[in-house]
Order: sequence, then structure tokens, then C-alpha cells
Amino acid sequence: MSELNHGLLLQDQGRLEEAEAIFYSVLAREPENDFVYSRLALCQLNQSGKKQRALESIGEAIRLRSDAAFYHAVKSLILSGLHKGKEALVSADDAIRLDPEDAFPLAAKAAAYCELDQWAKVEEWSTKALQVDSDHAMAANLLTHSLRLQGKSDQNAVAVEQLLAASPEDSFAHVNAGWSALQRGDSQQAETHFREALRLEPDSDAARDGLLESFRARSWFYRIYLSYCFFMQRFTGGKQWGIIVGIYLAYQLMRRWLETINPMIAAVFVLLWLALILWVWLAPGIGNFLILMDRSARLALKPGEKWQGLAVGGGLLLGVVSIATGFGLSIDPLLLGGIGLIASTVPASLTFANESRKGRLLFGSITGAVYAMTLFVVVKLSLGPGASELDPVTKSLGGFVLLAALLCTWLGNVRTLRQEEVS
Amino acid sequence: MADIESLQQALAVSPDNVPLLLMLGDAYMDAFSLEEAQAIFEQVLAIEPGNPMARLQTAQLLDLRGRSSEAILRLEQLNAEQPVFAAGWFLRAKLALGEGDGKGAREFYDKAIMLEAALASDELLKRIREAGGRKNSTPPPNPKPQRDGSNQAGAYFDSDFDDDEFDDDPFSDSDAELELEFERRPDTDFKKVGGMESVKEDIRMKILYPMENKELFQAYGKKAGGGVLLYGPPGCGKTLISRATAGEINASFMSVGLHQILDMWIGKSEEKLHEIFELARRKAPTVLFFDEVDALAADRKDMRTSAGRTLINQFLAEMDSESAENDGVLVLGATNAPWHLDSAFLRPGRFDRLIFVPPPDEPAREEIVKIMADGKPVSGLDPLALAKRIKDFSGADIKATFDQAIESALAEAMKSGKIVPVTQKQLIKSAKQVKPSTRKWFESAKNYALYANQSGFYDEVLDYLGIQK
Repeated sequence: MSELNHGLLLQDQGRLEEAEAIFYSVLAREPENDFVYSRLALCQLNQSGKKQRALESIGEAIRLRSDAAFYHAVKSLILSGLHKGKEALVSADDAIRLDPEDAFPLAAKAAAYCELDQWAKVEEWSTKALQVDSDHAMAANLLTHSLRLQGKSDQNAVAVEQLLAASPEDSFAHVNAGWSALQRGDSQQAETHFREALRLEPDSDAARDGLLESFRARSWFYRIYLSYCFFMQRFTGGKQWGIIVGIYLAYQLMRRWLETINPMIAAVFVLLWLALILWVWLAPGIGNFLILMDRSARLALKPGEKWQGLAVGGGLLLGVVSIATGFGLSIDPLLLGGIGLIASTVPASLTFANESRKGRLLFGSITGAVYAMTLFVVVKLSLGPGASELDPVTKSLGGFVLLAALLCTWLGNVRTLRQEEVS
Repeated sequence: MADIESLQQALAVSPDNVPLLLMLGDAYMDAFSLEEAQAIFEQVLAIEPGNPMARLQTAQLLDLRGRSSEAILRLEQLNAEQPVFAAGWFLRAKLALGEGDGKGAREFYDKAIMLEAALASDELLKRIREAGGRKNSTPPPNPKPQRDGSNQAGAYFDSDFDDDEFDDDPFSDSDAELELEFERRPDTDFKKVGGMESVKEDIRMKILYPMENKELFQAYGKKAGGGVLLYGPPGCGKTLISRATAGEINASFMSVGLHQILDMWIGKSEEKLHEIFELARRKAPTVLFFDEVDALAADRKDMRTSAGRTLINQFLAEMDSESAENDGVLVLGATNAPWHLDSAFLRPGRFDRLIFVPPPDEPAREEIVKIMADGKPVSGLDPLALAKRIKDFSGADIKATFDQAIESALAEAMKSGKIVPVTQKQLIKSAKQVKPSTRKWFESAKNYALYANQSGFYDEVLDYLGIQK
């Protein structure tokens, strides 16, 4: 076994940083080794913050040997990872032109379509890849993924069965099977698959995330939320916005129409709408709060998710109790404190487990502002006059902060404020 | 060039500052401005005529100008007058190699490394060996060592050059055949390893007592020897504790690095591995230590080449007492990634005992701090206070802390033009900037301990993390 083989072994074991160091060492001796550049690129592709370097490495491999379909397919995967779906398609086509009989370039093209949220195309190209190589794990995983997201439950069930039969020791196959089970509403089966995926690959974030979803999906309210997410996932980003705006416009029309009939019914409708909004945004946080109550399940939570659970679930619970007590006993500080706590849960749900640094900063600032304003109002009311006598500046500030919290329900749909910046 | 300018500025303030002059001379050499470098070293020698570094660099400059014989002459003089100056021996080894004198180069190289292990260079050693400079192939030129500690060449190498030890060296022939080198007898034991009491106790129970009470263990159907796997975060003393273990049982210690086994030619790695085991068996009692054992004993599912699998099969066969007689051979493996080992290695008779080596505890950290501070201009050091602040730090992290503090002291020294000592405050500040590297390992280890711990192998990790499943 040579040093290069040792590097390949480390790469297969998922010890990417160590493998990367060995590949660099080999390249120092053999600077014209295109194969090593391609392995280096794959190593970097799968590490956070190194995708741009991966692109440079595969560029070097292609410079040394431009007729290798594999290298163009790897480049396509890297471009997909960099959210450059259209450029990824071009590289995948280059790879297919060089070797139309290889399944990997076809699967890379399916992955590029996956990045563009074009699920029917993902299905088409992953099926083509599987026609060339029926055991191609990446293509099989992409196929089950695309079928699930198109809502083709029966076909998905068959594909998952085939996938597991072909690759019972593939962690990602179990992750896929887990998501399919979740989409069917079978959280127990999903949990089994995600646990198996973690047994096979304990460091897999996809498996851990899935396991957490299956824990959250033990409660009915979270399963409804998941169904909403699965429904929205079928559409591309633009269509998702269209649906959200459409629902909002329908709500506005309905509210106005109800106001003409009976203002009380309209008010109840508005409350229901707000509850729906809160439910959509708070479900993950409440789910984490419930997981925190489970001694074994909470071990899977990352620190950010624990804080999210506490801030959202705990904030909501405390807020509701405060409002109820404040309303029942006519204690204004408790009542307003409860409203502030509930308002804080929306930005808080987007703060602690957010992958985007910009998003964490923005939503974190709003959460902090809501907490500060709530504390200020509670202290002021406790020491001074009743709520109705709050000075206009405090009222304006409070209104502004509440508006900012409400605005988060829109800002939370902006992808760049939710997803990790790729580099 | 920026370095040269800033050094010149610093020297304008303090023109006779020898450390600064030496740094400037080095900078000129790096820039290949040999004339300027020569002038600077001459200036140093005018201030301090015996300055070893200036003399060394002068010799090096002579060699760079093609005047090797003159350079060697100067070095001979330097080595004779300053025999503890490791860099002098090291350069002399290089020059001797350049002259084609492999044996001489080897002798000088060994002296340099004995004085300062950090100078070790695999590349240079390889070239020396290729030039015929094998270890112990001939006795040293001055075989009678000076044991009175007098400042004479050879005085500091007495244990290595002891005639009796030469005759008794268990590996002198065989390792030369194998083109490998192993430590003969470890010079350390548990007393010399600070802290780590729980690990030591674990080793006593799992290794030392069984070896000391073979009969008793046999009466209960248990065997002494076999294999023990040490695992834990990198840089936390697995190698040190293995050497100390060998020291405790007074056995020979063979430390086998991955680079000593891996060979690009098919079948050659397996052959080397077999020869190493054979050598250990012949020289029993032996502690055979494999660092980075996860590469040699990797899960065969992860192997893409059949060549790798055959090496693993060979390792399994060597460890199996049925196919080879391993009595008196204790195989110690160290790894950062025990979960990547082929499960076949964890069966009885192979690595059937696992020992978790956690990050250094407080006494161990205190000891490491003292070692790191030794020989450096550190003022007001409180090792215990610092040790308390660097919880979860590995040895490498503590070194990084010192390096950072030294760099900031150096920067101040450059500005002021005089030696500025490293303070406790600087060390504490640096410690805050160094992230313990062990945390990343524990993140991964926690996942394996939670989700892939069906046999309970990693329960100690969970205990360490205070997690109750």
C-alpha cells in the first residue's frame, strides 16, 4: 500500500482533512498527477468552506487531462455544490459527451437538476444513469429523492426497496428511506432507518437531522408541519414565493369579505391566521423543545438546536402562561411581558439553528431587541403607572419591535438568510 | 525584504544586538545576499568571537561558495570547541555527505540528533543511508567515552556509544537488514510521565499485572501479552504512555511508524510487516508499538485496492497466536480513529483490550507546561495556574500556546531591540486564542459512542463526556 492508497483509504473513511494533507504531499512529489487532483477535489467538495478550492483542484486535473469524463462530472458536482446549477449542467454535458456509457456523468447531470429543483428532470437523468449501472448508489438515491419530492409515493416505495436491497450498508440509502417513511407519516419506521444510517456513519449530518425530524414527528402537530414542508418542497424557489403570496392575498380578500359580514368572525379569522403563521415558524423550535424533554433523544441535538428549543418552546409556554395569568388577574406587566415573549419566538426560531451567518446576525438582533423592549416595558410598568399610560415613545418603540418580529415571517423565506454561504 | 528592512531599523537603535544581527544575517542568507550575510556574521564575531551560530553560518557560507574543505575545517574546530552545539554536528553531517562520506555523515548526524531530537530529518537520513551510513556499522571514531562530563567531543553520547550496549543491542543487525530503526530500550517509565493516573492504572490492570503474574492468569484461562489498543484524541500522549509501558516491564520497544511499512510495491509492505513481527519474536520480551494503526488495520469494507486488504490479512495472521508464536510480544496499537478498525482486529487474541487515553489531566498539563517553558526566556511562570486555564488542551495545543506567546514576545523584542521575556499574562492570552483541538475529536467520538457503540467499546468516552445513555 502506497502513500496514495493511504490517502484514498482515509478519503473512503471520511477522514477528509487527513486525506487532503496526504494528497497534497503526493502532489508535491508528483505535480502532474491528474488523478490525485481529482481525488483532492472530491475531498474538498465534501468539506465545509472548501468548494471553491475544489473547483480549482478539478480545474487543474482537467488542465492535465481534458478528455476524462470523470473529471468533468466531478466539476459538475462541485458547481452544483456552489449553487451554480446551470454551469453544472454544462460540465455534466461535457462529461456525457466524452463518455456516454458511464453512469456517473448522467448522475451528475441529475444532481445539477436537483440543484435547480427540477425534480422531473432529476428523475429522468437518474433513471438514465441506473439504466447504464443499476447499482449506481448516487443515481438511486437521487431517483428516490426526486420521486418523493414529486409526491410519487408508490414509485418511491418501490425505488426505496430496491435501493436498500442493493445497498443495505449505504448510510445515505437509509437516510432516503427514512425521509420516505416520514413523508408517509410513519415516524417510527423513519426513526429505525435514521438510526441505522447513523450506526453505519455516525458522523452523518443528514442522518442526524433525519433522526431529529423523526423525533419531532412523534407529535401530530409536527407531522402536519412536515406535510406542509413536503408539499412546498415540490416547487422551485419562485413558485414557493408565488404560493406564499397567493395564500396571503387570499387571506386578505377573505378577511375583508368577512369584515363586511361580521367583524367578530373577521377577528377570529385574523387570530386563526396568526396562529397558522406562528405554527409554521415555531414548529421546529417547539419540536426541539419537546426533544429536550426526552433524556435520550436530546443527545442528538446540537447546542444551537437546544437554545432554539428553549427560546421558542420555553418562550411560547412562558408567554402563554403569562398572558393567561395577566389577563385573568389583570396584571398588566405579566400580560405585556407574555406578548413580548411570544413575539420573540418568531425571530428566535430563525436565530439559533440558522446556517447563515447573516441570518443569525439579523434575526438575533431582532430577538435581542424584542427581549430588551419586553424587559423595559415590564420593569417600567411594574415600577410605574398602568399599561394604558405608557408614554408614546415607548409605545412607538414597542410597536416597531413587534413589527420587526412580524416581518421575520417574510424575511425567513429568503434563502440567503437561512442557508449557509457556500465557498 | 520587509524583514530585512525592519531588522535594519531595529539595529539602528541597537547596533550591537547579537540576536538581531544573527537574524539579519539569516535573512540575508535566505535572500541569497551572501556578501551582506558574511559581513553581518563577521560583525557578530567581532562582538562575540566564539559565537557558535555565527561560526556555523560562516562555514555554511563557505560551503555555498564552493569552499567545502575550508567549511569542514572550520566546523571541525567548532565541534571540538563546542561539542554540545547540535546544529554544528548537523551541518557537518550534511557536508560529510556532500563529500561522499556516508559513515562519517551518519556519525555526525547521530550526535546532532542525540543533542537535539528536533533536528531529525528523514530525508537527510535516507540520503546518508544510501551513501552507506548505516547505524552501528562501525564503532565511533573515539570509542572511549568520557564519563566525567568534561566538555570533550563524545562526552554527551556515552550511553549510546557504550561498547557493552553495542554488543547487546537486540536490533543492531536485523533492523539494518530491514532498513528500519527502532528504539532499543525506552528511557522512560510511569514515574517520568506526569499525571494520567487513570490511564496508568488501566494499563497496570490490563497489561502489566497479567505479564507479571502469567501463571495466575493462566490458571484462570487468561493469556498475558496479546494486543492492546490505545485510542484517544491526537497529541494526548498515546506514544509516550506506550514507551513508558515498555519501560515498566523492562522490555524492548519497537515503535513502528506507518511510513516504515507502507511500500508502493505489491507484497513488499506485507513482507516488511512479517519481518518486524519475526524480529520482535526473536527479541522477546518486546513491546511492538504501531502508531496510526487504523491505516494498517483498516476496515476492509473501506479498502478500494486488494493490495490494502492483503496487508490487513497479513496483520491479522501475525497477531493470531495460532499462526505464529507471539509469547512475550505485546502489541500496542495507537489510533485516533478506533471506529475505522476492521472488527476482526477487536476479537479475542488480537486487540482485545481497549484503553482510552483522554486529554492530559491537570498534573499532566502542569508537567507539559514546565517542559515547554524549559530553556525559554519565561518570567513569572505559574505552571499550575496555567494548567488550570488550559483544560482539554492536548500537548500540541499547549505547544501552540507557547509558540504564539513567544511570537508576540519576539515582536516586542524586534521593536525594542532587546530580549523581552515571555510572561504568564502573554501565555494566558495566547491560551485564549488557541482552540483545543481535542474538541473536534470528541464531537466525532461522541457520535460513534452514541450511535455505533453496540459492543460498548466507547463507554469510556461517554463517561469522560459525562453522558449517560
